[in-house]
Amino acid sequence: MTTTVAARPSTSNFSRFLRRSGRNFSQFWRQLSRNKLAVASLALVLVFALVAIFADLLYEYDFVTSNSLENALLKPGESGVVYYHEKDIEHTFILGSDNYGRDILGRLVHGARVSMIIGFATVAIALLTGGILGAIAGYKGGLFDTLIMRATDILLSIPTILLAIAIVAALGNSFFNLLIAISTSMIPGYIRIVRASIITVKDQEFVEAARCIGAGDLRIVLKHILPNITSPIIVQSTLNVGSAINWAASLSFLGLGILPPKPEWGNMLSEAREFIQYAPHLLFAPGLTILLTVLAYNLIGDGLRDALDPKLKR
Amino acid sequence: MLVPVLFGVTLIVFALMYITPSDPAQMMLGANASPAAYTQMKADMGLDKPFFVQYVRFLFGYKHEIFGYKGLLFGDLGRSYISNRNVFELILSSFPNTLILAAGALFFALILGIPIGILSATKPYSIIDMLFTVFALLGASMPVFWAAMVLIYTFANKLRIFPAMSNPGDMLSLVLPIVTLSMYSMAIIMRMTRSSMLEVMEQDYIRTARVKGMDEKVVIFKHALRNALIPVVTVAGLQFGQLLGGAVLTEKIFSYPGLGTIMVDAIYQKDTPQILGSVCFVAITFTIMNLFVDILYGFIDPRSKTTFRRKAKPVAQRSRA
Repeated sequence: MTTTVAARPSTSNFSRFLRRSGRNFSQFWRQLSRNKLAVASLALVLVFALVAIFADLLYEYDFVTSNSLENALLKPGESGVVYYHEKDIEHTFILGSDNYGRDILGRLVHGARVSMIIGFATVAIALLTGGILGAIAGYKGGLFDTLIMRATDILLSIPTILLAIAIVAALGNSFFNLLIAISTSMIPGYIRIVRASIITVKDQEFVEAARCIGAGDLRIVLKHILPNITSPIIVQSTLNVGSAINWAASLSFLGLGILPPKPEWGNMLSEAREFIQYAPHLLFAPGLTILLTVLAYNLIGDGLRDALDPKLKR
Repeated sequence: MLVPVLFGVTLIVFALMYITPSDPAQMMLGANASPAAYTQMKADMGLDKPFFVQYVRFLFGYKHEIFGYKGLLFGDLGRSYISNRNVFELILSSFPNTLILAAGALFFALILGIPIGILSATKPYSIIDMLFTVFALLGASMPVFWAAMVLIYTFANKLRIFPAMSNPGDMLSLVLPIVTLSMYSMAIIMRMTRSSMLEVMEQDYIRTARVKGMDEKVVIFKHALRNALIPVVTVAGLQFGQLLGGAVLTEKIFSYPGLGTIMVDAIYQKDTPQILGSVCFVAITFTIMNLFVDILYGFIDPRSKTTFRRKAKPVAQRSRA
């Protein structure tokens, strides 16, 4: 079986790439590391991920969600006395405080956790659902294809942000519903990508060969086709994590996602709206955080696309 | 093709509203209504019937002296639960405002995006190109609502050039929302023009034109641009649809009286007929818009037409050069 895999005349970028690099990522990494922006973005994303994982060590959740009105709208770097857990503690607000006197940096740190979870969970849900549907449509063809693609057309004919808004409005405001809304808006994209890639691969000789030696449909799709279509999926998923974070922030901003006092980047901006004139740090801190995160994912996506595409290798 | 899609869109939107945990009958009566009055109200509003009965009524109309309407197919969805105004009249009165905003944004995006894209493509990997690449990436990554807030902070609060609130009658107040809304589309159009131009510039007929000793300007604008603009037009058309739907956030922030504001307000107030009407309206416009782009594509690019009719003729491209 191993020999079949190694000898198959595949045209896919990713598998050919994997084989050529001796099944390790050293060449891939060399390819990606030429793109300085992508590497820097990767570092930024890793830092944000660490911050999100260890958020509780940096700031306690109760601390960033409890009000202390006497410290409201402090400028970045100012310190104040916070009454917390029945004690007065001296605290420096590195990025200032919001209109309820909550630490902005602390809220950004805990918001990072929410955004990371939303980013990865929505992409995982969409990838799984869209991938399976796309695979059925592309591999089986016929009636399945027609039905699934019609449904995709229908979903695509509602503007993405509007579909997400309508779903949250219908299901109600909750973290889980936000996940469903955002991933539903992404599913059509995955269906199209997976279907298109499968159609280009499924009639090639190595698939036929696998079928000849008696491999079942599931085995063919998972072991022979899937490794050949991963690169467009990886690129799309990276870009989608960025847009998911953006959409989650937008929905929360409209009051249709995660509501205050829970810390989330979008709802921080929503709360800041009336105070930006007096406290611009309320506007710039969460906004730049979102911008940097989304930008980083987009740059990584672009970098991956170049690294995985042999046509662009120079 | 169009009909099943529109049918599906209305079905999805209707299903979403059907499972919404709001109770319009309770809303109409208030919290202290008697159970009998509540049941009567529910029957009057037609909410006691099963899903498909309600959906068919939604499409073909429902006869009732207070809550009756002619149905979506006849452009009537009754009255809003909150404002008691006719849903479609409200939509039709606010849609032109959204149209102004979206058209302005698309115009702005095209008028800046295409020249910058050409500039980037004629000098690929130069400093100018890099600069605009970063600019485009920023434009594509920036959350719309944050961009709007920064613009309001800078130009309305600090510099006091443009007002923070916007309305369709005042040209000056339209500047900020149009700039906000166009940012994303501009980035997309810029990148599309650049990559499409780069691709076309490598074609044989461009080299032929250059070898013939043609002026570089003529080569770029007459030979390359015409062909490079084909995918740009498609993207611009699709963007226009997205702009109509995506205006929601921009309109909300600038308190602009457009369809988006109406939609979000209706969602906040759980005003079912209003939500159904406006979402369906946008989805239908969007679908028709996309169809229009497809048709337009055939006109701009005669090659795609021949592909549909018979086998594509490879001669077509040569005759262009």
